[in-house]
Amino acid sequence: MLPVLQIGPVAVRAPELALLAGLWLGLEIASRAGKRHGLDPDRIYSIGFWSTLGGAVAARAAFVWMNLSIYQQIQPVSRALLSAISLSPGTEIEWIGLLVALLIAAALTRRWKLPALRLADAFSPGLAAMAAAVSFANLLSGEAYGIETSLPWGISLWGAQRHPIQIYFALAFIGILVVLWRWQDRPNPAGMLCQWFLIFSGMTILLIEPLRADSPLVLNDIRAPQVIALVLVLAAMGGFALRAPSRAEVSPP
Amino acid sequence: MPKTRFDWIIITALAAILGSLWIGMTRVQASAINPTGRPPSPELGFPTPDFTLQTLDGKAIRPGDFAGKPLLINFWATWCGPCRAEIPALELASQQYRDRAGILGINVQEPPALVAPFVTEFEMTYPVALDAQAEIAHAYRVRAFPTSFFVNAQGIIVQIEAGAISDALILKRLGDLAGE
Repeated sequence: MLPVLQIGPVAVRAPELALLAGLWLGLEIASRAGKRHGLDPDRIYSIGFWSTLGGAVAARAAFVWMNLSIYQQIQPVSRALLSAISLSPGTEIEWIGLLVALLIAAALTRRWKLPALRLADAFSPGLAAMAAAVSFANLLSGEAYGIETSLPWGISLWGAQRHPIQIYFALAFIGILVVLWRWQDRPNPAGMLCQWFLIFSGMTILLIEPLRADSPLVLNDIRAPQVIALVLVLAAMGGFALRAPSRAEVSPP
Repeated sequence: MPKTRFDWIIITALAAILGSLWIGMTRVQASAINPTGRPPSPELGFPTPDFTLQTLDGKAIRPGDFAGKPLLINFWATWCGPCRAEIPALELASQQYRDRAGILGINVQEPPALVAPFVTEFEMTYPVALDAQAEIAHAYRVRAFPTSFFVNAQGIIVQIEAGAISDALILKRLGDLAGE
């Protein structure tokens, strides 16, 4: 765990630094993958950049709007404004950010008349890289930590030997990245790489999340990330079902 | 690989059933959700480790003095820029939630002669305790300044923030814990 890098008088938050590096790496991988799919790498960079920026701004703006009374208490006004645009995290409404990011990506895709499924394929390895970076950032911040273990590779965190699930997640997503990168050159139908990304990522979360000690919960004791992961896996498999030929089309008359 | 649409539908249905069963089997145990009875430890979901320190005016202070109210324990030092930036927000929160939440500043390894003028200059009215030997900072595994522990009214640590946090986050978290 290394939450803050103290460089002289300057305190740099290491997890956020890892996230920024992950964003850059993910966009770089996505743009290179896009080139292989016949897409303009600059367009991919632009979509990734504007979606991320728009999503981040929207997530913060939504928090400020919904907690306006808190900001009104902060005096002087300049300090309240600084708080609203502060780079330190924790005051965001994530689902609104995600929704706005997706809307921006959809709008740009439409405006530039890009093939949406090919674009999703191009972004898939990049998203795997970003997910690995998020896991690494969690390792630095000590968040999303594992349950206690006596296994020899347990790490000392928050007062106990724990499963290094941030490392498990990071390795799994790096594995997904490698597989997707290799599969790019196959003659895949448009959208198939993205479907595999959803299936592999969903399975990863379904399997590793039970080792997490601080999962967000729904319905008292159900781990929310597992529910979302199962929905994504089923949606991707449903996509394969829609794409597959019927029995009548396969069997000879 | 499944070949037909029917094969995929069967596999998807199986995945839905097996996935749901797996989620049910791996749901969080009730004992892990409710940590009452766990030994005190400076980590999320655990009761706050107890300690007694002297404030600047010589009074003894401990987390138990804030029993029944949410508490923000803030480890800081005068030389730390982000700590200084946070203090006006902590002071505002202290005024705002005077009767409903507590704030305890713990200055680490600095002499009272240095801390007292600083407290006056920054008009800090919430209690500031002196951890002269950094024993409490070590016990709380503080690795960076500032570090803040948000503790709920039951004395359980619900959030740990290493590094500076925004004014809004301090007010929002304390407000939420105070039941606003």
